[in-house]
Amino acid sequence: MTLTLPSGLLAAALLFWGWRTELWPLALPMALILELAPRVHWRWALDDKALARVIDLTALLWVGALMLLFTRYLNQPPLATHLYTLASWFPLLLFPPLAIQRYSTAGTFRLGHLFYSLRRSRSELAGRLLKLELSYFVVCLLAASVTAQPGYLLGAGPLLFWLLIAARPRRYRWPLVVALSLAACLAAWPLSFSLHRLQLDMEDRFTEWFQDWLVDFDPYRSSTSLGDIGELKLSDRVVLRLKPMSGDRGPWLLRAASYNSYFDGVWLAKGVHFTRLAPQGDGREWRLSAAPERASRHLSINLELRQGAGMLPLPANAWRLKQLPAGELQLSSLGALKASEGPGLVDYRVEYEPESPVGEKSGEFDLTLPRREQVTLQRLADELGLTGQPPAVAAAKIRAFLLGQFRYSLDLPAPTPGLTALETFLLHKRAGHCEYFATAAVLLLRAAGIPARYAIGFSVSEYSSLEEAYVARRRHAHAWALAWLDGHWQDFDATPPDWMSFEEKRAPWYQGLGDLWDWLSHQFSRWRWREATGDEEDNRWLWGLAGLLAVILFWRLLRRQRIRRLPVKNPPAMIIRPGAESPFYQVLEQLALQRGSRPQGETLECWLRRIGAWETPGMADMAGQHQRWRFDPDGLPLEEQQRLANAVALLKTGPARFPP
Amino acid sequence: MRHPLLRLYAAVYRPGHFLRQHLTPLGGWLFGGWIAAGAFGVNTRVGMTYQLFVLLTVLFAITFIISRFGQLTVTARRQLPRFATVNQPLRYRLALHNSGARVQRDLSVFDELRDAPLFSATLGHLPTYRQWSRWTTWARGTNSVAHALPVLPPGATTEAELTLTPLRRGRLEFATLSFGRPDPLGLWKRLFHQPLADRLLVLPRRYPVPPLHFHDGRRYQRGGVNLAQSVGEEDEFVGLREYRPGDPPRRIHWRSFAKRGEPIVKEFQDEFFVRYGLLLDSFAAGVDDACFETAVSAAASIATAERGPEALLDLLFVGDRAYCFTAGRGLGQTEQLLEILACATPRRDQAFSQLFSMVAGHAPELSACVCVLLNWDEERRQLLNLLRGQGVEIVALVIGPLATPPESGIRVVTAETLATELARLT
Repeated sequence: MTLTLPSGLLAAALLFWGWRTELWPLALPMALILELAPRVHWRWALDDKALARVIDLTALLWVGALMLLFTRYLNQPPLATHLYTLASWFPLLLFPPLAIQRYSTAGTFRLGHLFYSLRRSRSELAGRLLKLELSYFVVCLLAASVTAQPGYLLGAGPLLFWLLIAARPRRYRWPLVVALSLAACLAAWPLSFSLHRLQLDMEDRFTEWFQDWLVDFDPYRSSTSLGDIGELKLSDRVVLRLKPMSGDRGPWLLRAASYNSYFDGVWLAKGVHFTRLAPQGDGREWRLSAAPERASRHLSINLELRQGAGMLPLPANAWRLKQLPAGELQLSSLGALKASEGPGLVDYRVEYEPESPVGEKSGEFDLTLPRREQVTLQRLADELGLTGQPPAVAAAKIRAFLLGQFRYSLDLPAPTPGLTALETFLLHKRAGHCEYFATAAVLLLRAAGIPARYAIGFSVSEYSSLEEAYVARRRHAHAWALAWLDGHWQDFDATPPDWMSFEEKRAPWYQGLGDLWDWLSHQFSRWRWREATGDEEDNRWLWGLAGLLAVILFWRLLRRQRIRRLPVKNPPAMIIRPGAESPFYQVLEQLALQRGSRPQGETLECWLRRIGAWETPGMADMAGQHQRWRFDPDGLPLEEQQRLANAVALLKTGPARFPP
Repeated sequence: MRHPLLRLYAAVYRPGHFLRQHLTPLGGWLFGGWIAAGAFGVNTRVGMTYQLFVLLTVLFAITFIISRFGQLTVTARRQLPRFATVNQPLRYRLALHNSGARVQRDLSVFDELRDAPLFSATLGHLPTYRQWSRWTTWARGTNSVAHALPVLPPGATTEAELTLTPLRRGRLEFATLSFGRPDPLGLWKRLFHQPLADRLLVLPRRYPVPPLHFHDGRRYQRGGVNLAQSVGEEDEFVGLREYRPGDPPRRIHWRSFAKRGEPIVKEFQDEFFVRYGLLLDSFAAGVDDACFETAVSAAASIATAERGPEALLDLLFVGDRAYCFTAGRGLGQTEQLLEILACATPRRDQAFSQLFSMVAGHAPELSACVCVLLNWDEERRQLLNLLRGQGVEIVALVIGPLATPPESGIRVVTAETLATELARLT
């Protein structure tokens, strides 16, 4: 079965392709050539050999195009660009056979013309006819789509629906077809954009997953995005849950690691050494330092540990951890806490006292400036008048400088030639993300003679009513400075405080769904690690899920049973009689019901005359057609069958036309 | 079907088969476009191909869902002939009845066939996918081609003509009749299956053969021919005569004995008539299926050749055991021989010597024998000598090509030369 395209559709598709690919000069004559074919009254009488040569010529065109693109690829990768270029040439490369098909007496190709292996074959496959119009139409739509120019659906949609409406099965009425086409278009419009967004999100997810596996918080080294170009992308996945136990409302800076040496965008922890802690009490209690004199505050932190190991984010001056079932806990000399041999999910309690400093002292690296940025930093310190100032005053000036003259941005601009990324940030761009601010703050503090370190972890301030806890997303990962002020380390966050709302605005529209998924995953993790976390109280949701599955299973079983119960009906025995399908029988049945059935031996015409139905307009014609359908050896032509059906339908549905 | 590779073939074949059955021609082309759009639209940052992909996805999804609604009120009955022939298009009729209240149009129909059990295990080696695919179609017996149905008015009964081309001999097992109803946009066909089991015997392909005339005349038929009708000289009653000592008492004609008062016996005459043998060599060790098909085709052509009203034809071959079927003189019709040949299978696990004893038993009754051999070797040469030794005139065809030429008088035929050689057969 071959499908004939409506007149003008191919030309429209070609013009659409020309518009999209800016190949107007080619598309216009090609469209004209195709559309003029029905109006031209001559055809080429091409034999099989000539038709095969047309295919050979097309193959040569393809080879030439491929060689050209391959040469270009050698000079200018990547390959994908050239493949898209090739795709945009498809209508041009396939035009010769289509034009020949339209202008040849054959009017079609055979499959044997396309394949050398079938050229001499006389098989049914080789002789199968191949009309190229429909495939060419699809190719035009495809070729028009490879450019990034917007408005594709506005052209492709109507063209496709023109085809569908023209080729629709006649058993359906056109309003249904139009309604379906419109529904498809209306659904495709937002879905295509969602697909685009989904791909971007999947890329983020993949990057994040990759980072999760390969780049965890490293107590020795932290690579920043300083100097990277592009746009910083961070995902919305919830990675930490926090519940304050003493009525705090946050925000909290939870430090996972800190570093003391900077070089070219990388922070390192030099001279760091780890001390293994011994568990106390029930084996899940860990003392980080001596108990403070004042009453402590409490936090409950819920965190996933990959393979049972990782850095534990802690608030400043944490001194004791409880309910932490880790096999081993090590405290670094820079204050980072590393857990190992633990479960996949930990839910520990932290006791801390912000006002009572505990922990490590200042070290030799905490005042070192990087050699490359040293001059710039000293000059800035001089300009800000930091030299000779008390530490608290100098720190306040630095904070005011960074908060007042810099703005938060996730764009990663290229560094100014001759300057490092940090210098570009400090001197020219004055915009960046938290890593820039934290690094600048640490190094300016050091330039002012204040020992400082670079800390990374999470800033937690978002409350989730779904989770009933404060949550930290991946994009809430934060960097800040630690300053040695008043004899202890203090958090010194110089990032503009609006950074959280800035990040919030960039959240995708479907974040709610992502949150729901995170919550479900978390519930599953809690159930999975319920023994380790001591969280065995609430499995109702699982029972609910099991109940739902049971209902679905039951419904399916019931449905299957219902299908089985249906007996297999044998087709009724039929006697094949010519004209048995004549709709005039319905009229005869109706007349027999109204005026008595026709006795045996009485002809149809006699009976109709006797009961007075013969005089009904059209009855004589209908009866004649009916008799011919039944008894004429040639049968009744289809047109007359249709006419008879229409007349019967009119008689049945119209006003009663039988005489009383 | 236990080999993992064959399972993999089946897994690859199934989706394609599903799409071929369920997509309309328009749907097929757009489905190709959908695949291409998926390939080019993988990167949504480059180009807008993903929009075409989404648009086609939505179209296919919507139409597929909509096509699942509604029922079909058309039933059909197949009117098959008794026989078909390999590679010869067969036309048969379908009686259709629309019991619903709306006109049914744009319907298509095709027959679904079962794999014949006879052929389900004959693929010996591990095939390539292409070979497996062809073999699957061949084992099923024919390609299922969808036919468009005429418009069916409400309550109407009509007929449609369907065509199929059998690809192999043997029985074709029709399982169901599948009606295809297109969706409103004409992309998918929803299939409605009507169980409608039928069988059709496909006879081997036959070629014209001239009338069989051999030089040797009639032969004595020991014991006569059971069930033979009164044509020719048969071992039947020919008259009465007086009793002679030594006559068996069961031949006494008791009525005449009572009438005459002395024993009268019935006299019979021995049977002499022309009996031809058609020997089909089914020992196909080392011979491929195509050669065997050629041999069966040759045997079928010879079996249908004109041989005179009084001649018998014995078909001799070894299947699961040795068979001898006789046709002619009221014993059986030629079409019964063809039915037997339609179901003949090659033997690869038995020795050729089995044919010896059967041929030796029948040789004295045969006037001439046409031997269709699958190979030429010492055993086959001895068989022909055995027949010659019994005075049987021989015409031998060996299905070739052969590495070594046989002795003179033996004809080597191939699938290509079969028609020519049979036309020259005397």
